[in-house]
Amino acid sequence: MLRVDVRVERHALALDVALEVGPGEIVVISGPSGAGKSTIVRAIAGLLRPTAGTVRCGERTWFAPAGPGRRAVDLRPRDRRIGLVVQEGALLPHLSAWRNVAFAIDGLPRAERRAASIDRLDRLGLAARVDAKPAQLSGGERQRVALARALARRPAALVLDEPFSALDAATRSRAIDAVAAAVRDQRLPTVIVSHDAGDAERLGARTLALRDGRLGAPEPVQSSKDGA
Amino acid sequence: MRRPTGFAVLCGAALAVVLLLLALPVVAILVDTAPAALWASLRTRESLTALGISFAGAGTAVALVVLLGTPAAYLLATTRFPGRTAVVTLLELPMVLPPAVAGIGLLAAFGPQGLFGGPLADAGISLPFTFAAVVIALAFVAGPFHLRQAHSAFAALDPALLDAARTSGARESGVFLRVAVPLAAGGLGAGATLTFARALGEFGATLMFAGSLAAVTRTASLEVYARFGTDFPGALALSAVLVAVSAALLLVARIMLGRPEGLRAAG
Repeated sequence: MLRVDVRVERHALALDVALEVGPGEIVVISGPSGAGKSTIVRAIAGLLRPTAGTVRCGERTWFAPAGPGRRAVDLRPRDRRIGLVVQEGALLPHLSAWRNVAFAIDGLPRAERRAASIDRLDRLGLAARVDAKPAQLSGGERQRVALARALARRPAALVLDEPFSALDAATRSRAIDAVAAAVRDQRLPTVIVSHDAGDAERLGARTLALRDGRLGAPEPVQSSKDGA
Repeated sequence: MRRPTGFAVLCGAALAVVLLLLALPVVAILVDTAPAALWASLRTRESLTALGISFAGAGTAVALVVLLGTPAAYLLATTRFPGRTAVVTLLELPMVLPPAVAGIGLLAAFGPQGLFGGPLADAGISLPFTFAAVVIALAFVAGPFHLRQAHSAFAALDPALLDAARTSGARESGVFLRVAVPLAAGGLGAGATLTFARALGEFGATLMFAGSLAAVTRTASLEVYARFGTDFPGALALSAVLVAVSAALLLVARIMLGRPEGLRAAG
């Protein structure tokens, strides 16, 4: 279970976000660009420090302010065990596909890391592309390598920021299936930022809309003002 | 084909003048003396020793600058703190200081009467007129070239890649060594190369802080100066070597900067 309840104030942006995602559940956050969707992702991942609030995952606290008899907690991204995929994948351009995946695997000897990485890529249909550099991969392949890298950490939660937006229709549905399968198999609480309502439907996900800095039920086609 | 505009002709003329002004002395060094005479005067013990001091001094200075300057530039490029601009300006200042001012500054800091002269003397260390002084002078004058180049190379990295490394489990040291440094390698290599080239050409600060002691602190540029009154062909020969090495280094730096991997546009 991923529990996020944070306040973020940055520049002109003020977010007050509460979110609970159960194991194996997918929540899609939609909203216009500039609404702060990526800011929520960064706050969950530990790449940005919320002004206030808490982030918890399972039994662990990732972020919490100091309280009576309790020190502040702000785990570094590497200690949060989050699988993060951002738009375009952010693969390391100097490393081959398998080395990108191996980058996220620790605690294994070198030779085993390679085998484990190739296995991860194989599961996403990329067995033939393990030695390709990111520049040699298509957009869909890059996205799947990024997903393989995120899953290779054995994450406690999965967070995907516009993972499908750069993909054509055919690749998109393959990538969506891959995500859905991974979430189901590993029972990961999963947050997906997407501006496409179709994605949520295909994933069988609960959708929340980010409006005026708060998450709420998505507006029906005829808008009614009952957000937060 | 269209006729060139008046403006294009003007720019072409300006280029011709610039080329003449900048290239003529360099070309003159290479054509003024017969190759055989150049070769003969280059093979003297003094010339070879001076070249050795230059390369050893510049090499040591570059090693120091790269080792300390690279993480320093990374910090400056990836964090915001009050006074950052002032720090950057201070670090780049030696690039534009008059050589005599740089020399005086080094003496004021590390000379016998300098700020650190006392403590150094207590420790039994006297820097001026030693090879160490050559290295310090070269690092002081040439170091900013690497700092500047490394700073822009790190600043041009896509922050999303560094964040991806963090969320993939890398420690901050791993983000630096396994992601930032490899991706900025072109800029870092160019910076180190330019630093080496600048250090090879250093003259004024070295002369004031390290002196021109034959076989100890007399670098190739100091040897050129020591000879030009008495042995012009010898001075020319050494100059020709410095020109050739500097040209090669500049070329290497250009090639290294032509590798745009890992910049913001990369996917």
